[in-house]
Amino acid sequence: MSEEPRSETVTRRSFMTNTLRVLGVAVGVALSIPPIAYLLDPLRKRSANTDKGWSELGSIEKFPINTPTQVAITGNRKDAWLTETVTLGSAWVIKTSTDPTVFKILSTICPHLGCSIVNDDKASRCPCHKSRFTLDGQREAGPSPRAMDLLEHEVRDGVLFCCYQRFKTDLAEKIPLGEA
Amino acid sequence: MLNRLKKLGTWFDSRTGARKLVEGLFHERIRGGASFRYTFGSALAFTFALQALTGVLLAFYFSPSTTDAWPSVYYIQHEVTMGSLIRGVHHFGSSAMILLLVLHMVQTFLHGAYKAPREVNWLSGLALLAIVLGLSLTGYLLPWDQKGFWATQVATNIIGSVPGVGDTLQTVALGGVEYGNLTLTRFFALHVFVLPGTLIAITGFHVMLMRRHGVTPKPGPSDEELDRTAGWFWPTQALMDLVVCIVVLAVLVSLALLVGAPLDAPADPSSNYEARPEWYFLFLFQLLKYFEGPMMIVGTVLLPMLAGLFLVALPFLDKGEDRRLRARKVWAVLFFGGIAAIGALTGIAWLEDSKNEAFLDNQRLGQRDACEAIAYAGLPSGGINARGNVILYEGQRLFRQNQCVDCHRVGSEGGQGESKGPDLTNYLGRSWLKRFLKNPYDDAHYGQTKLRLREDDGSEMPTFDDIPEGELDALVEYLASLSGETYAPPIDTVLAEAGRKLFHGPPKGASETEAAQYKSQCGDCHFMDEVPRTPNVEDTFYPDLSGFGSRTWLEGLIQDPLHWRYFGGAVAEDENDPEKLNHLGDGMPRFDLLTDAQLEYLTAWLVELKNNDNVMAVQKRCLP
Repeated sequence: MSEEPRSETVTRRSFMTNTLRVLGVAVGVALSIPPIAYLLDPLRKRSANTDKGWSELGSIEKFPINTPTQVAITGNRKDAWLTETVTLGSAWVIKTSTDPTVFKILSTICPHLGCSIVNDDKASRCPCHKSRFTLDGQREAGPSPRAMDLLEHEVRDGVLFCCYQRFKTDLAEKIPLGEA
Repeated sequence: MLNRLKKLGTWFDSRTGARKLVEGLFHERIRGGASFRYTFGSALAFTFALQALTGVLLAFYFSPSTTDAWPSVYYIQHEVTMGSLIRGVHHFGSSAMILLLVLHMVQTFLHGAYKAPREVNWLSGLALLAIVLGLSLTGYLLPWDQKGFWATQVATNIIGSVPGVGDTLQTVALGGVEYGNLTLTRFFALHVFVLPGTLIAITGFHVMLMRRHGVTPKPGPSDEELDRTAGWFWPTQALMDLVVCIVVLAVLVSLALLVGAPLDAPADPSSNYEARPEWYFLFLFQLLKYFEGPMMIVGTVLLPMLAGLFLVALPFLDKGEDRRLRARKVWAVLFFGGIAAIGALTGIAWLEDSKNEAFLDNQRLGQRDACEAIAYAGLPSGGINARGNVILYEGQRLFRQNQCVDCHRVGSEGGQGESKGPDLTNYLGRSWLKRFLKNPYDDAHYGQTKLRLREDDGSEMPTFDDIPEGELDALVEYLASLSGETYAPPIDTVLAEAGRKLFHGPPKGASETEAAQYKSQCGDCHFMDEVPRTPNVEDTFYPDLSGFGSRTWLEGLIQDPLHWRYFGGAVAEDENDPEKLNHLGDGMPRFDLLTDAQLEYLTAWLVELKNNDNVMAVQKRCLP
């Protein structure tokens, strides 16, 4: 910097350099706050997309005793800007006693890491990481930290309703998505 | 700590030579000294960086499809934290780009900086101008709102008017012969990948050339004078650049916060929206007005092309070494004449519009629609469906489009037509039902309809203005409960049950104490058995109230008001006295051409009326 023109004294120069640095940092900070708030917006809307609503699963008579039947569950969902009736997920429905109004409804989502649980005559299994459950959802073997997730249900006038929910995975406790 | 950082810096520098690179960037000698005249280029680069930043951020939430584009932009603008700020800066940033480009170009012209050896600087600059215009055009369509949709139509139809290849060009540009998903995905890809990518590449080249040839100093001073007054980019010019960038940023942020980026109603191909392009394309729009028929091509293609050719050819036509303006009068007159002409055309376009009442009315309607679409999209009871339609907004529009509004007043709007139907303010809401029961034939209910003729033979619905308030409330609650719809506050089931008893009269064999609860016998005239009846053949009958006020009930009413379920019996044609009850004259027409979706929207809006506050709030906000 030996070529520095004389008209600019060193003090003036360092004053400008410092001003530049301060202003530059200020602009940088100002420019980064709104984008961060904007990108983190989903943290503000932590509640699950699905309203806690009742979905109709059909007449209680169509479910056989002690045999898990898979049903798709439809319900109203707000997905960002859209509100639509969509398939929310599915569940295994088991009529557990001779009383035709006693049911167990188990989410097909594995509490381990969220794969879909299938079953054969003997057990429910998660095909991804080999978690195994009894047909009524008790944990038997494998990495799942808890039993299969029970869904709330109700029988009204011979029709089965269920409240579909998703839960956090890989926790011993069953905590709905969006809750602390 | 600081020492370690310095060590790390030294390590990094020894591996990369970064310090020298940065020094190289900043230590540029400026002959004649730093000046605010040289800030436009940096301001442009800064504004483009802002556009890139905000653009990437917008892409985090934007969905380029004809059904989702508008809703996702609505979502950014009204629901995402700081979304309106980000979108506002991006929107006004495009105007800033154009403005700064023009200033940069004028400055370049004034200093004669297009002359040898800087011809390629100039040409690459022109390419950048074209790309920026392309970015503006493609970006405009993306929200898929009325303004973007209709204004872009004009631009792409101009492409189509090019002789010979126009049709092909247009089809390729649109991804088909008309606007649709493929247009949007194409424009999106161009706007976020192709054009910015090219822009960045050419800008790099442009800046590299600028560094190669240096800043073009003011024409006039001698070489010695320029060397004597020479300054440095760092820190003097850098500080000037930064100050200008901060001013640009401050203006953009203020505009975003105070004015806000506009969002029109969702694109509607059936509307009569009068489109205007953004202000920087207004001159082209105005030019089109002067060339008719086969001459159109002069305004759309030839003149703009000539202007472009002039700019491209300028450095090769004006070859004199003297950069002072007086030495290149002809070129200065052409250049500034062109800019003045563009300014004048823009001014005329603006002036003509500001005096054009029809256009201004159209604009007001457009603003009303935009306001309503946004307001209804924000209502929890409304929402946007998978077709991308704001349900209640579409319902409100259908109510107007089908002339329902001529006969039916809602709040401060409508009911101006000659024939009058019931005032639908708070339709089927508790207070509407209550006033209806008190006097079905007041002017706000059925008083101006043919149902009133029932009074002639005493078969009209009685007034219930003398029954105790509590019983009236119970009846209202029961009637409201029949729809199965959500009321605010919710249906009081105990009260509704009391109302049910009042409505239907005592069951057979009821004890006297029990029968005392059943008083009004509405059920004697209003069946709820859904047994079909035929007007004129059976005795006079009255609307069947099963599912009263539900969506299905309303859909049926709209499609066929004289169906036996509704007013078919109540206003049946009287063969003996056709004058008297000829309902086909000016009663409510059948709206049986509505599609299922339209019926759904219209009834959704009618159902919303019962919770009056929402619709009234939208009216207050959006009606002039």
